[in-house]
Order: sequence, then structure tokens, then C-alpha cells
Amino acid sequence: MAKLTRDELVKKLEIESLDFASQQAMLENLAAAVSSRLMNKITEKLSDEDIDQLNELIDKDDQDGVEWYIKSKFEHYDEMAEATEEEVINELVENSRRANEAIERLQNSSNSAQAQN
Amino acid sequence: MEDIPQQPNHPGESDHPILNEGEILNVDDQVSSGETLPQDASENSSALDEEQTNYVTAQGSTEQEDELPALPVPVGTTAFSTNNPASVVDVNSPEPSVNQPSYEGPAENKVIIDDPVEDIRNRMEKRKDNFDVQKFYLSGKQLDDAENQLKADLANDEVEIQSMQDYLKTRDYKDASGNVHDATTHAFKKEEDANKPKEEEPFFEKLKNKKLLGEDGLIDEWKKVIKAGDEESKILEFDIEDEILERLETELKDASDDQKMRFFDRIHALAHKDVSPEEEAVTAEESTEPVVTDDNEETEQPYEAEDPNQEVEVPKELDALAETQMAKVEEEYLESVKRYAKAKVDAEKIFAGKSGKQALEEASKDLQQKFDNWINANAELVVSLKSKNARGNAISDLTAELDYLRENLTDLEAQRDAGNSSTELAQQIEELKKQEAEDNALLEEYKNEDGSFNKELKADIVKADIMERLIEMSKNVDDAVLEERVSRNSKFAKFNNWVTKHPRTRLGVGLALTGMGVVGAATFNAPLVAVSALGRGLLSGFGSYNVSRAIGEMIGRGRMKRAELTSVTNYLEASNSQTSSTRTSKRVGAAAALIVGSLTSVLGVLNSHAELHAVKHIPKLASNPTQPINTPLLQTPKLSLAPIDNNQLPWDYAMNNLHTNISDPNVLHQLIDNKLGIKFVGNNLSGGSGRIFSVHIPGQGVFTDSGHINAAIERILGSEAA
Repeated sequence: MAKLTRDELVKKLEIESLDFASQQAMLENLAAAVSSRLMNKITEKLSDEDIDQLNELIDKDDQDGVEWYIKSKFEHYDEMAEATEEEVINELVENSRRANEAIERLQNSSNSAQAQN
Repeated sequence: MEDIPQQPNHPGESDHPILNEGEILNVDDQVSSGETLPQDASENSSALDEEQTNYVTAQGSTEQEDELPALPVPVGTTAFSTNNPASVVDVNSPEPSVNQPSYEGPAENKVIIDDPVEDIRNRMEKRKDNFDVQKFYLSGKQLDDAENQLKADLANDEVEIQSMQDYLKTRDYKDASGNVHDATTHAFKKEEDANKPKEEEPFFEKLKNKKLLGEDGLIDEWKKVIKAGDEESKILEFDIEDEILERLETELKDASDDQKMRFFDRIHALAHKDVSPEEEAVTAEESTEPVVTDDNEETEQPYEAEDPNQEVEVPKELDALAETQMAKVEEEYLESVKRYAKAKVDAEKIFAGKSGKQALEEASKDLQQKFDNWINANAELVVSLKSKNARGNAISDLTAELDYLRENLTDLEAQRDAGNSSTELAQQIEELKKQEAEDNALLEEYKNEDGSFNKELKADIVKADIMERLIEMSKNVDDAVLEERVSRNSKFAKFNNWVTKHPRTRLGVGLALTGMGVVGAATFNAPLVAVSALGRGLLSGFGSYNVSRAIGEMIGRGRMKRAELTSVTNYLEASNSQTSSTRTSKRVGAAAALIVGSLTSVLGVLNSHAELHAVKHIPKLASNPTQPINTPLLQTPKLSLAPIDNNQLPWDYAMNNLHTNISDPNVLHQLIDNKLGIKFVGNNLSGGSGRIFSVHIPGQGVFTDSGHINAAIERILGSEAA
């Protein structure tokens, strides 16, 4: 997926009607959801020894060291992260589409019933 | 002639009989039982007169006419003189006891009405909340009009409260705390005590009258002899004359254990401190008399305020609401998430094997199913919210009414053009044209600046709310898996915490999002926060998706606190109230006002929902020009009700003349669901806190005067009783 601009992402999520601050809050929530997905993928891959090593780096407050160590465990970390982000966004867009279609179907069905009466 | 028994004329005389149970002293020496003394001799002057007559007859002389015959002594008591414990007290002593049980017998159960002032105050708060919401989407002249309307309504409410309070002073009523106001004494009592017969008069008052307690708390005898002992141990030592103790024994003989304990507690308390008569009166549980302050103003007993944290059970009938169903589905979804997380982490074990994978597959399917359920429940909820869109309803109603009017107008004009020149026809045409103009003007108010009607206000906000919820649900799944993994391997915890605390690391956030300046700090609004954020959860259009979810959660728990009950009640009332012009309701007739009972009247809520979703029939005007315009579709009998007492407002009339509180939800529903076809239109009639504006009487028409409304109420309540 080509890197999305903010406007493109806002449009994709159908949150254009919100004001900027509300959009930003929504994007923060999205980022948190992506973060959770990424963390699962990372922790799934790490062994106990890897965790011990990471914890040592954390104790030393070596932020760069932690980042470097994690990325070394994945062949192409950046691509993986980007793909994870895309995966979460696409899931949301699909789920939103399903939800809105269900609403529309039910609404149409309700209107038809009323019209017949 | 029988000898008249010697009457004890002076204290100290001995050899007078102790009465056995059932015996009384009277001039005829007749033994009768069960008779109690009059509270005031004058109240039973006829009885005394009879005694006097008997006395005179027995004596045959009038010399002793002035002497009062001995009054019967209460059954089961013995009388003592002040000095000789064995002697009989002279009930005709200079200070006869007036503390006699009442002859009134069992007090009638009071007709207790509910305090409507609280409802008015709640209504005022709702008006203010409504206005707060209106401020978001009104502006200019509309906002000014709304503000002026609010001020006028609040002023009217204050007047109503004042007149209500003036009225309530003369009534027995139950306030919001459940305490009962006594119309006679103006004091408040707990409900269970309100109907106690008057024989249970203030216990301590009786003891005072029996000289066992003094006006200042302790009689001199007590004061001299009490050694209070340890305050906490409640030990009292007496060295007091036997006579006092025996008199005390007499009074306490028929007292309940509770009264006995309270007496001794009182003595004990009095022994430890000086207590003023006013303080004693205020703290006396037995006292039902108003407390007179130094300013000689009566004050009322304080009563406990309602505990907002008290839990109440939610009626099961509310399970049917879309909000409740949504909450249940979400709960099931979250439970499924937990099972999925467990299965997923189990499947990652080296020896998970086939069973582990199978379990994961099943958990995944279940999760998918629960999500599908969520999609459906969400659709039900949103469609339900759409139907409650107040502005949309108002526009629909007005449009429907205009269609109806124009259709009828066309018919009538056709008759006129065909040669019908009757006065009634001309009047009806004129009336319809006038109404058409008014409705058009009202519809203009609902137009947007560009001339379009936007019925689906804030639909995009609902869409955004749904997206936010979906993001949260996605995070729920991943968080659950992560949590499961961390719980099984505590080594992960430190790393997990570290990533959370260092959100700017590119590890935790996607690249695109990083570029947008977000750091992944989740700010999901918990549903219940949404309720507090929007005040009382009023439905202002579509922007209440989160509120409705919160409401569903509250109901779904099965029990809620009183404060939450208020929120839910307000939500249900707001979401079901019709905010279109009341004129619309009046004229169309079939578009009856939606009246929602409060949560305490579940049936009202469900009826209102049924009414909300019912299909509305618009009656067609018959070609006969003499037929009233507002004839409803249903074939209800035509009525002819003459107005009754136009000077009384409906509530007053019902209370004073029908002895019925029309604010009571049961009575209210009786009025609304009457079988006579009478339709009331009012403002916020739910829970009885509103006002009836008009009544439609089949065969007669629509009236706004109190006289016709009173007549309709009386007709309904009379016919329903029959």
C-alpha cells in the first residue's frame, strides 16, 4: 500500500465530518490498536532468551538498543510494521462497511414495511 | 336503692378496690369491659350526661348532681395514689389525667398522594438540559426564541410549585423520601407510622402527664436519686420511692419493649446532661407535633435523603430494548475474545498439537459469530436511534399533516365548486387553509440555510462513533492475546510496559501513523463517560450512539444505582418524546403524543416503544361537510361532554373532586389508554410531571380549556371504574 497521507486516511475511515481534534483523537486510538497488533507479532517471535536480553537493555534504559534488537529479529521489520498497519486499517474499513450495510439493509426493510402498511 | 359505691374523693384514702381486668367503676357499679376513657370529657358529654342521669336516678336526689361520677379506669390498669402504693388514685383529682386513649378507634387509613413538587423540579432540570443541547444546533433567532421559551416555562413552573406547595399544606402526601406529611399536624412521619391509630400517642407525652417525666426531662424525684453511672454501660441506680416505681410499672406494663428501652435510654441521657424542652422535642422519635422554635415558627422533622448509590433492580421487560440487546451482545463478544486469546496462546505451545489447533479454530469461529451478532445488534440500535430522531420526526409529521390537509382541502373545495355554499363548508375550508399556513411556517423553521431538509442530522457522527468502537474492538482482541501471553510469561511484562511508556519508538506505531504525528495514546471514551459528558444522556439526534451504548450497559447489568436510574429514565423519556409542535399532534389526531412512563412504570415504557414503532394511520375526511375534521379512524363512540369547573386545573380537579392523583403512573396510563377514544396531548406527561394542553373528544373536537379536560378525565375514570 502506498503510504497514506493524513487526508487519505481520514477519508478512508470516513471521519471527514469530525473536527481536527476529534480526528486526531481517532487516529491516536487507531495507532494504539496497531501498536497492540505489532506487539503481539513481536512477542510471538521472541524466545525467553530474547526477552532476557531485552530486559537487560531496558534496565540500562537503552532505547536505541531495544529498537535495534527487536528489528534484528525480523528480516524486514519496517515492511512488517507497515503491513501490520495496513492490515489493521483494512480490517476496520471492511468491518465499518459491513456495519453500515447492515444498518442500511435494516433501514430499507423497516421503510418498506411501513410503506406497505 | 342500691348503695352507690364510695367514690375516692381525696388522695390517700385507703381500702379502695384494685380493679380487675374488665372492671370499671361507675355509678351503677356495672362491670363493663373494653371501654376506654374519652380523651376529653367534653368529647363524651353525652356519655357523662348519661352517667349523670343514672346517678341522679339512682340517688333520687339532685344534691350530688354537681359531682362528677367516677370515670371508668382503663382496662388492665391499676391506679395508685402518689403516696400510698396500695391506694387507688382519685381519677377525679384536681389534675385529672387528660392523657387517655382516644375513643376514635382505629384511625382511617389516610389517602396519601405522591408529592408532585419533586416531579416539577425534575421537569425544570430537564428543560434546562434540553436547552443546553439546543444551544449546540440552534442559533440566532431560533436560539433566542428557545431561551425565551425556557425562561417562560421555568417561571410557570415556579408558579406551579408555589401553588402546589400551598395546596399540599392542606393534604396528606408522600414526599420523595417516602415520608408522609400529615395535613393536620403538618409533620412528617415514616409511611408505616402514618396510619397508626391514635391510641399510639406519644409515649413520653403520656409519661409526662403521669408525672413520671417532668417538663424539663426529669422530675425532681428522678434528679435526686439517679446515679447515672457509666454513660456507656447505661447503668442507672435508683433510690426512689416505691410509689414512683410502681406507677412507672403501671405505665410500662402495656408498653412495647422498644418503648421501654427508649424510656430508659431517655432517662439515662437526661441524667447525663441538661436537655432543653425544645431539644427533647426535636430528638423525640415519638413526637409528632411540629417543633416550635423561638421565633414561634413551626419546623418539620428532618428526614433522610435518598441515597443515590442505593441499588435498584432493573425490570426484566427492558431486556427488549435495542440498547439492552446491544450491551448483551457486546458482553458476549468480549467473553468470546477472552476464550480466543486463551486458545491462541495455547496453540503457540510447542506441544499444542492437533487439539490445540482445533480449539483455536473453534474459538476463531465463535469470535467471528459473536462479531456478526454485534454487527446485527448495532444495526438494530442505530435504526432504533434513527427512528427517535426528534427533528426528523417533526418534519415527517408536519409533512404528513400537510399532505392530509391538502387532500381534504381539495375535497372540500371541490364540493364548494360543485355548488355547496353552506356556511359550515366555508368555515371548514377557511380553517384548513389557516392550518396549512401555520404548518408551512413551521416547516420553514426546519429548513437548512440552503433550503434543504436534512432529516438525518449527525449521521456522520454515528458513523464515526461506530468506527471508534470498531477500533476499540480490534484493540480488545490484540490486548487480550498480549495479556494472556504476559500472564503466562512474566518476563514479557517489563518489555510490554516499556513499549507503552515509550510510544514514540517506531516499534509500537505504524509508519504512516507515525508520520501523522500520532503516538498511539489510546483515548477511547468508556461508554459511561459518555453519559456523564452529555449530562443526563439526552438524545439530541444521532450523536448519542455512545450514550445509548452506555444506557444499554446500565440496563444490562440488571441492577443500577438510583443516580443511574435517573439517567436511564431521562434517556428513555428524551428518546421517546415527540418534539414536534403540539399543534401537529392536535390537528392530525392520529399522530398522538408519545407519552412515556418513567422507568418505574415499565409498562409505560414498553407501550411507548410499541407506539413509537406503530404505523400511523392518517384519517381521511369524509365527503360529508358536516362531519368534524378531526374524526379519528377508529370507530369510537361519539361523546358529548359538557365542561366541568373551568376554574380548576385538571390536577386540582382530579384531586379535589375525584380524589385521584392523575400524576400517578397507573392513573396516567388509565387516562392515556382509555377505551373511549379520548386523546390527551401534553408536555412531558411521563411520570406525571407535565401538563395537559388539550384533549380530543371523539365527536366533539379538540379543546384546550380545563373544563373539557376535567370532563374527559372524569368520564374516563368513571367509565373505567364501571
